[in-house]
Amino acid sequence: MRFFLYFLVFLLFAFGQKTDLRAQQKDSVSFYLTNAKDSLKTPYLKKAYSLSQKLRNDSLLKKSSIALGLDSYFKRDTVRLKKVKESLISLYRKNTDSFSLAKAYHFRALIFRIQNRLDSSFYHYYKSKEISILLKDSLEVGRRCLSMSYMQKDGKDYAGAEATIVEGLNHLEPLGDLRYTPESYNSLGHILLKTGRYDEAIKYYNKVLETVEKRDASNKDEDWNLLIANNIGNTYLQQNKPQEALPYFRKALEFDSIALKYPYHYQLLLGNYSDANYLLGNTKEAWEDFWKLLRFREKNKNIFGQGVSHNGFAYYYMLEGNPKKALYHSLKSYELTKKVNNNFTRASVLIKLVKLTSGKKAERYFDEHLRLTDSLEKIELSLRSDFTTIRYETEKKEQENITLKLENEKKQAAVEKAEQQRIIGWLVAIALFLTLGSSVMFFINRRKKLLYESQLEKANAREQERQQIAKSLHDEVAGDLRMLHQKLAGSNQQEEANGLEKIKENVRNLSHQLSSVSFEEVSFKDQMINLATDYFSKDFKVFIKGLDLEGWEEVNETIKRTLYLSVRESLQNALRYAEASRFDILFSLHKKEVLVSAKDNGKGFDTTKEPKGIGLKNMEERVQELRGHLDIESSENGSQIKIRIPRNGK
Amino acid sequence: MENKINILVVDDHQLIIDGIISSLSAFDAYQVSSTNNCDDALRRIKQQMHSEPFDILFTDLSFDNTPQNAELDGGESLIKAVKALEIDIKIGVISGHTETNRVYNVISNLQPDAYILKNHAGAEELDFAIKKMLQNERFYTYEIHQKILKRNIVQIQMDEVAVQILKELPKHPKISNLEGIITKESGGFLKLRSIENKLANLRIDLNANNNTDLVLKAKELGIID
Repeated sequence: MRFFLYFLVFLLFAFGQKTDLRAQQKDSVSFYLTNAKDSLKTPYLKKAYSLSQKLRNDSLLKKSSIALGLDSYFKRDTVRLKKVKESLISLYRKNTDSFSLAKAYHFRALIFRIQNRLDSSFYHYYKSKEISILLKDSLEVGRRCLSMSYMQKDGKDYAGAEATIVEGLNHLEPLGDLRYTPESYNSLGHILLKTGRYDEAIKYYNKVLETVEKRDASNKDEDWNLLIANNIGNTYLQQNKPQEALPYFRKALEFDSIALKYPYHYQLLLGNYSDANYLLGNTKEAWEDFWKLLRFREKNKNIFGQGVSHNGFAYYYMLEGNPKKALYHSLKSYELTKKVNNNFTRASVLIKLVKLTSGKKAERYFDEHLRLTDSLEKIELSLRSDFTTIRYETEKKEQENITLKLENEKKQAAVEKAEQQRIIGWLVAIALFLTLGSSVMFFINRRKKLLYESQLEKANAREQERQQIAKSLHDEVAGDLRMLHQKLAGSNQQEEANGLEKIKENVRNLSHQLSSVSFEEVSFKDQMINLATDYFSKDFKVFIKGLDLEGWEEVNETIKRTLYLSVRESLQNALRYAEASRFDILFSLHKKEVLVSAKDNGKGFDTTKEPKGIGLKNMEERVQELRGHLDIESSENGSQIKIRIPRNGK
Repeated sequence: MENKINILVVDDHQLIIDGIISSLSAFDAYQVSSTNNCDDALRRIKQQMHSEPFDILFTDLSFDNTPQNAELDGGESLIKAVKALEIDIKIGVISGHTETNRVYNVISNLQPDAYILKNHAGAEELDFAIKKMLQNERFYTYEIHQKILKRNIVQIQMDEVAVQILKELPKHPKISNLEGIITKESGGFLKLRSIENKLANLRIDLNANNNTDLVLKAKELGIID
C-alpha cells in the first residue's frame, strides 16, 4: 500500500515535471516569436518553428510557420518557405483549418514570386484570396488583393489591377484597417496616375494621408507624408505642371535630416524636385541636385538608383547638346542597369546609345533595344494576358463552382427529398405500426367483446332455462296440485286441501320468481314498476327514480335482466329480513355504464358474514359475469346495494 | 237453447275445463263448450260466428300442449286473433298468473273484459264475472284489481309532477291556482291544461270520482301524507 502511494506521488511528480517543461517550452516559443527582431529575427523564428513542431502544438506551429514563412520570403529563402508551406498544408489536413490552407497558398505564391513565375504566383495569390473570402477573413483578402494588384500593375494590366485593389479595399475599409488600407489607396493612386486620371489619383493619395492620421504611432506618418508629397508632386509633374509639383517636393525635402532617416524617399523627392526645377528652367539648381542625387546614391551603394541617375544625366546632356557627356553617362547607365537587371531604364538608355553612336555599335545597340523592348513587351503582354486568363479561368471556375453549387443544391435537395421520403417512410411505418397496433387492439377488443357476448348468451340461455322451469312449475306442478286440491276440497278432506293449497302457493311463487318477461314485450320501465308493485304495500313502500331516463331500449337485455333480478333480490331481502318500511330504487343511465342503487331503511345485516345468502351470492355472480361491480353497505339504519355494469363489457 | 249464453272455455288442462264446466253447470243460462288448444278454439269461433256465435270466451294464458306447427302459441295469441275478427264476443282470462308483469302485460295490451285467477274461479265468481262482462263492464278478481291499483300508486309515486299536484291540490280552492306552482322536472311551470290532463289520468288510475275523492284516495293509499 505504502509502495503504491509512493509510486503515485512519483507519478504525479513526474507528470508535473513534464507539464512544467511543456509550459516552459510553450513560453519560450512565445518568447522567440515576440522577440524575433532585427538580426535575431530569423534564428529566433526558426527556433520558435522547430520548438512548436516538437511540442506538437498546432496553434503555436501555425503562428511560427506564418512568421517564419514571411521572413523567408523577405530573405528569398525558397527552401525554408517550402518547408513552412508543407507544415501549413499538414496543419490544414489535420485540423481542416482553412486558414492554414489559405496561408499555404499565399506562401506558394511567394515562392513563385521569388522564382519570378508571376503567373503561377498570381494564381496562388488568387486561390489564397478565395479561401480567405470564404473564411470571411477580410484582412487577408485585402493583403492578397494588394499583392495581386501590384503584380497586375507591373504587368501594365491597369484595369485588372484597379479591379483587384478595389476588391481589396472593399474588404479592408469596413475593417477600419490602418495598415494595408493606406497602401491600397496609394497603389490605387498609382494606377489612376498611370491611366491619366490625375485628379482621382490625387484624391486617393490624400486618402492615404487621411487614413494614416488615424494611426497612433506618429512616426509612421512621416514616411507616408513624404511619400504622398512625392506622389502628388509626381502627378502634377506627369501633367506637365512643374509649377504645382515643385512645392510638394520642396516642402518634403525640408523635412529634418530626411536623407538620413528616409533615404529612399529622399532620392525619389530629390529626383523629382530636380526634374521639376529643370522643367521650370531652374537648370542651375537642377543640375546641382542631379549631382547631389548621384553622389547620394553612390554613397548609399544604390546601383539601381545610380543607373537611373546616369540615364538622367544622359538625357539632359543630350537636351543641352553635349553628346560626349551624354554618351559617357549613357554607357555608365547601361552598365549599371544591366547589373541590376533594370531593363526598363536600360531600354531607355539603349535608345540614347543608338542616337549617340554610329555604325556597327549603333546597330548593335539598336538590335539589343529591339530585343529588350520586345521581350519586355512580351513579358508585359504575357503577364497581362496571364492575369486575365487566370482571372477568366478562375471566374470560369467560379462559374463552374456556381454550377457545382447548383448541382450541390440539387443534390442537397435530392438528399433532403430522400430525407423527407425517409421521414415519410418512417411516418408510414409508424402509421402502419399504429394501424397494426390498433387492429390488434381491435381484434383483442373484438375477442373480448365476443367473449362478453358469449357470456351474455350464456346468461341468456340460463335465463331461458329458468323460464322453462318456471313454466313447468306453474303449468304442470301447480296445475296438477290445483286439480288435486279441487278434488280434495270436493271430497271433504279440507285439512289436506288446505295443506295442498299452501304447497301450491309456494310452487307458484317459485314459478313467478323464476319467470320473466322479455323487455321487448314489456318495457324495462313497466317491468320495474310491476316488480315494485309486486312488493308494494302500505307497510312497505317502494319508490323508483331514474326510470324515465331515455335510452333504456338500447341497454342490453341481459344487463337489464340482471338489474331486474338484483333489484328483486334486494326487495325480497328488505321485505323478509330487514323489516324495512321503505325501499328506494335509483337508476342511473350513462353512455358507458348502468348504475342502480337499492336502499332500504331496515335493520341492516353483517356484510362481512360468510356465507352470504344464496340470493346475494347469485346477484354478485350475475353482476360479475357482466364485468360489473356490486357493493353492499349496511348499518342499523338500513342497507344499500350499488350495482355498476359496463354497457359494452369493458 | 236460443236464450242460453254460449261460452267457450279453452285450457290445456282437462281438469280445469272440467272444474269450470262443473262450476257453471249450476246455472241454466250458460251453455259451455270447451277445447284444449287455441287453434281449435279460433276455428270453432269462426265456424259458429254466424250460426251459433259464442258470447263469451274464457281462456288460459299458458298452453303446455301446444304442438310445434300450431298457429297460435297461447292465450295471448288467441285473444289477439279473436279481437282481430271484430265480432261481438267478450273475452275473459282465467289464469294462474298473478305476477304483475304478466297481468299488466295482458291487461294493458289485450284489454280483456275479465281477468279471473284460477283459484278464484268458483261458480259465484264466474257468474258475477259473466254478468259484468255482458253489461260491458270489466271484471278483475279482487287480487288483480288491487294489483293494478298498487301499480298505479307506484307509478304515481315515481311521477314527481303527479305527487306535486296531489300535494298542492287540497291547498287551493281552484285548479287554475295551481298554474305557476307546479314545476316540470326539466324546470319551468306546468300549464293548466297539462295539470288538468294529469288530474284526469290520476282519477282513472286511483278509481276516484272527483278531485276531492282523488286526494282522499291518495292519502288513503299513502301516496301523500
